[in-house]
Amino acid sequence: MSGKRGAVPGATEADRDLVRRMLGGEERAFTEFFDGHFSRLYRFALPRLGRDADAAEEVVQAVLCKAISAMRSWRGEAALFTWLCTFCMHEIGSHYRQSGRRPEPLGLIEDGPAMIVADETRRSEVAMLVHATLDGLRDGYGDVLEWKYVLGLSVDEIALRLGVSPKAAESLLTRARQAFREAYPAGRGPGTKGHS
Amino acid sequence: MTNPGGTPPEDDTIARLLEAAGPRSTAPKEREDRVRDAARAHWRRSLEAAPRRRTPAWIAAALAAAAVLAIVTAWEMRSRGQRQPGGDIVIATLLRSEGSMRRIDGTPPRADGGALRAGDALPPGTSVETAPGGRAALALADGSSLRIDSGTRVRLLTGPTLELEQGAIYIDSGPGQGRRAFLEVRTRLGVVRDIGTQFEVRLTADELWVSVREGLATLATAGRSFGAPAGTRLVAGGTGVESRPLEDPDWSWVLDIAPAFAMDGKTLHEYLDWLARETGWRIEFADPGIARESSTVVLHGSVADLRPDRTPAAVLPTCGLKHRLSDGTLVIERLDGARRP
Repeated sequence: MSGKRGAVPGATEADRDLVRRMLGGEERAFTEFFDGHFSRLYRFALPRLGRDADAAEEVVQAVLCKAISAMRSWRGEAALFTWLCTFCMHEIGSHYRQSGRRPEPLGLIEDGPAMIVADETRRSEVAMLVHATLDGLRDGYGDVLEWKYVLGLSVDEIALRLGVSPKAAESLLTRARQAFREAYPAGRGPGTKGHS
Repeated sequence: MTNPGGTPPEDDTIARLLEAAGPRSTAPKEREDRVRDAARAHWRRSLEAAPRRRTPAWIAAALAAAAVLAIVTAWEMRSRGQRQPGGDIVIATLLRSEGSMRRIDGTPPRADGGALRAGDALPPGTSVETAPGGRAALALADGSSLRIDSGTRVRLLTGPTLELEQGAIYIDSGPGQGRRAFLEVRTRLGVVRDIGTQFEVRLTADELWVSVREGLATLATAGRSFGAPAGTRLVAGGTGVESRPLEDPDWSWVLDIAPAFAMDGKTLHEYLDWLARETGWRIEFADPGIARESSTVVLHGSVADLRPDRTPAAVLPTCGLKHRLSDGTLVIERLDGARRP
């Protein structure tokens, strides 16, 4: 496990290009922006709102609208998704303030290697952690890892999906695995034997 | 997850971890659609509020005159996925049918023989059959469009997965960006998996045809996987798998049963995207200004009763535009006398 845990990933050129095209009014850019962020934000919000789907929908809609309004002020210091998450945390706080309720703990696992998923509670906690890590990866790494290891696509199929050569797809998978190892919380990383 | 390729142990651990976690969840389609519509409307308003953009006067005049067609059919209003009374899961919604289409699974017999009607919501496990001359268009729960040709029998499962027993189906799963699940079509001669594409799967007595119109699909059969890019047809039969160029394909049955485009409130750009996807035409603009303006022109009315390839004649003149079709390319020009912005 590297020491990069907790570092805020910076914006990629793809993020900057996307924002430029959004501000230029390109319809396709809006579609890319929405498709690339809606599900990740929804998954970010849902467990933090006690799995209240109505509240998550409301919060994510508010986040996207406020981010669109503020898009001209985005300076690219953080990745676009990271920037959106800061809006999301603010909206979740507002939601609890307005409802007068207190947020429930997320209940992520606290110790032990992640691969020991002996019971359903623990399995769901690990799943949440893995999914949050995948959502936080940049450059589509989360998608290619999911395609490969969850949906079972072959390297050739991933290459076809991305319009790249099998060699390039394998290289992308290597980088994606490395990014996952770095981002997965310390002490629970793949290959670790226990809590560090 | 096994380690068939001799991957390093650490990678194998990642594989087992991700496999144990399973796929990431997605929000229900209706929630996603609601948020998308709201965010897009907000985005458009923010663009209009920006000082450097304004709607040209000629477009405003064209919009005021836009009264394309005012027929909104009941099935169009039902075009989104829904839950059945009682909250059962819906895997597909029938949007449109021609001729006879009926359920053939173990549902209680009905006086109408299980005939399906537009708006019917179908749970996972439903088997349907179209009679000779019957066709149907359905919206799958993941947003994909499914069309069923005549003489077809197919079972709808979660995943989404389709089991094709006979006949032909056409699938438009969209460009594929941001999707989590990949649609599968299982047949006795192989499994077809979409990778964000438009394709037809046709099963005859001894052959399986996979014809790819746009994007990519794969066919897994006899322990091997074959890629099919746009413009190709994979033919699997007793002698193995062949890849052939898709020469002079006939997609007319797909157009005949196409679900209507819910045009009211959509931009000209969105309409042209839909038109290009349905017809396979390339869209070109005689004047670059038209391309820029297409994102701000909002359409009203309905083209629900027109085949997609016949809609340009109804829609474009209301925007001060005309078109000509040349070798698969739709060229859009300003109407004679239409003012430039």
